[in-house]
Amino acid sequence: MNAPAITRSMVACLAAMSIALAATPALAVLKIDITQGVVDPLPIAISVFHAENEGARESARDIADVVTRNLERSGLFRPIDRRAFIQTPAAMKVQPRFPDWRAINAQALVTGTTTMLEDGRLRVEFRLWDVFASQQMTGLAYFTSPPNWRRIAHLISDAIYQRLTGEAGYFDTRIVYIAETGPQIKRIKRLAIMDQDGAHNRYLTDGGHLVLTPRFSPTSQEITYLSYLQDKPRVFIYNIDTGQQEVLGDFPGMTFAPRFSPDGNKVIMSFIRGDNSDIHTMDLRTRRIARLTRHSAIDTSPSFSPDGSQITFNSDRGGSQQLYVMDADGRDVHRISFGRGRYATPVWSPRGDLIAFTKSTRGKFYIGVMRPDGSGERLLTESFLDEGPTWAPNGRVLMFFRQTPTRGDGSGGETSLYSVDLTGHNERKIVSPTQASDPAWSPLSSPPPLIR
Amino acid sequence: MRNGIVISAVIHVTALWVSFVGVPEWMRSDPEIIEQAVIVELVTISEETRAARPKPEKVKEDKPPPSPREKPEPPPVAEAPPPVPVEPEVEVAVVVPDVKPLPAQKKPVAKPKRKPKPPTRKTAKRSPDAPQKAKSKKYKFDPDRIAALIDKTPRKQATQESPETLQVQPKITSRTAQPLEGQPLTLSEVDALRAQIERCWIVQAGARYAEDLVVTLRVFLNPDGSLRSEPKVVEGDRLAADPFFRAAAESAIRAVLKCEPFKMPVTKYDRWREIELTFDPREMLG
Repeated sequence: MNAPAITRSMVACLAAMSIALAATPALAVLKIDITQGVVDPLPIAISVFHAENEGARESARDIADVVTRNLERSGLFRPIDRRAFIQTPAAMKVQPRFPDWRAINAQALVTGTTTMLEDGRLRVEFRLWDVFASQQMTGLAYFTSPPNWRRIAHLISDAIYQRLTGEAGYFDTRIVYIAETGPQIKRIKRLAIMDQDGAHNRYLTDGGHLVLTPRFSPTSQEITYLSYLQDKPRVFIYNIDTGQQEVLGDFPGMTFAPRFSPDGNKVIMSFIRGDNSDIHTMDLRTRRIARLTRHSAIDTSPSFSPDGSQITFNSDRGGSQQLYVMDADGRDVHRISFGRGRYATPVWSPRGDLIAFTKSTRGKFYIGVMRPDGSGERLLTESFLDEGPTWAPNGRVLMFFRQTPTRGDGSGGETSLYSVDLTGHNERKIVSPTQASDPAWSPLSSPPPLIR
Repeated sequence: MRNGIVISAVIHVTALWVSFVGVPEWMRSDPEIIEQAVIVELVTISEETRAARPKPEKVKEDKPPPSPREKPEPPPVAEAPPPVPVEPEVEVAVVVPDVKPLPAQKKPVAKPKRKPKPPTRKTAKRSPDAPQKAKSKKYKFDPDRIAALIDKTPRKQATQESPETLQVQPKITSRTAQPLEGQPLTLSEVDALRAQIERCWIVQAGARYAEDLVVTLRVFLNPDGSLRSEPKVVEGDRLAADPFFRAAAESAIRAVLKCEPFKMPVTKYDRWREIELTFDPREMLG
């Protein structure tokens, strides 16, 4: 046998061996698909922060409390009762004893330190730990003037939420809404603003004029809303910093249902002429007005998609009030809702994947969501009267207002704000100093300072 | 003469190979057929296939897992803050006069991991602390832990084996005197493991793009069912790039860490020493 023949036979042998090797079962990796889990909130332990000095003691507890309430309200976390904690805040300065936290079934742990600095500022540091992996997930420190501790608590809550869910939080945000006081027949409605947890409430208007449907600009410096000027409903813009109000556009008729475009350069709204209502935009710099719909039906409640390319609105052009989507220039109008009942106030989610709406049928109101193509309709709430959904900036939570039925003796009819997450399971009442309606959620990280 | 050498060499190599790896599957006839008879009985229990397909190219990953290679995974966690600081920075400008993340923040992040060891000297006086800390890092290579495993193994073998294997054993032993080694896991054994992990897996409802958040973990186990090393994320490069994927992967890892040790028949250790778990929330979240 010559050399090539030997090589050939060796190669053949090796090939045979490798085929046999591939067929050997001992080397197989067991593969298992896990398709079912538990949809429970994540157990998280939020320790009172460790105060480095006496001046920081109060904020050490307050910040941990606000973070705890924020995370609990989100429905995604279950803060563990502090009485179950084994390790003290001081003992965790270096590193937590993870077995102590595993023992109480905590999956995540938040620790922190507050220090009152000599220059009068407060230093707040926090760390988020993965209890089972025994490692730090994130850690940040902030400096602030002591009265701003609550803002720091919201920023910390956002950081924790973001790290554990992958999604931006929504705790450092504010809500603008209509504060309602007085009897039903002589209701005073004022424009008001507060933190998303109900703190730092203040009134922006004095109640002299009726105010409706406030909406934040993308920068949250400005609010557009509907108010009455000479008994005619008109769209206004209000600057939060300066307190200045301005009528938007010189329309001969009524304008209402205003909302900013995602870039903040335009306001989209309805304009009534005679019996007909159509959708218009106004460029805030050039003041040019563009008419987007031309139909004898009532077209109203427009809302831009987050990329500004499309608009959703409601119209009764098909016989009943339903939701429609069109391009930003008014072309390609198509209906997306086909269910029973009336659909109103569509709002496009900031993450673009859903449109929230109010639906009414058979004497009940619902807040629901559907995809922009009309598929996947889900109703999240149900009551006598639910209305006016607004999205949290991360597109995972909705706020709306609910009114109770008015009884024969004139009692009832109270309005309050509620939030609900996309699962529909986590519905919460938002505490506000007065009765409240028409909420609008601000974007994240609103730059203006909090005014107490 | 040459032919003789070649033939001799081939026979030697084959003999050596057979002694190391064993006879290829297609050459073994009886045991596998008997095994199938058992499987047929159990088909109604679950839809799952009975054994994993062989993947020779991945076999090499079997050995590296011990702690030193797993350690590089935590660093992405330490780098996590960058997205967060953006918000505080916005705040510096307008709202809270001085709010900003510490520029030196990465140092504190790294410190705690190094620190714990020196502090143990200090805390060593407090006797309860030290052993607990050692336990907390299960998947890091730890001689004490190995010793503990050796102690446990025989005991667990006895206890774990009985409930799972008793049902199957009578049928097999009636035909063969061989123990269960090398046999594939039965569907009920796989189902038991699946159920154990599913109980520990917390799925986030309402996450965006849930359909993309399918996470595959490679898990390496000791004969007592405990983790031999930290679970490895198969698409590890997505961790740093995609915060949603990272959150989903960490949730899957937490499920595995929380559930271990897994109750598995020790006689079939070869079959489950390495497991690939695919966490797929699509069915749940619909």
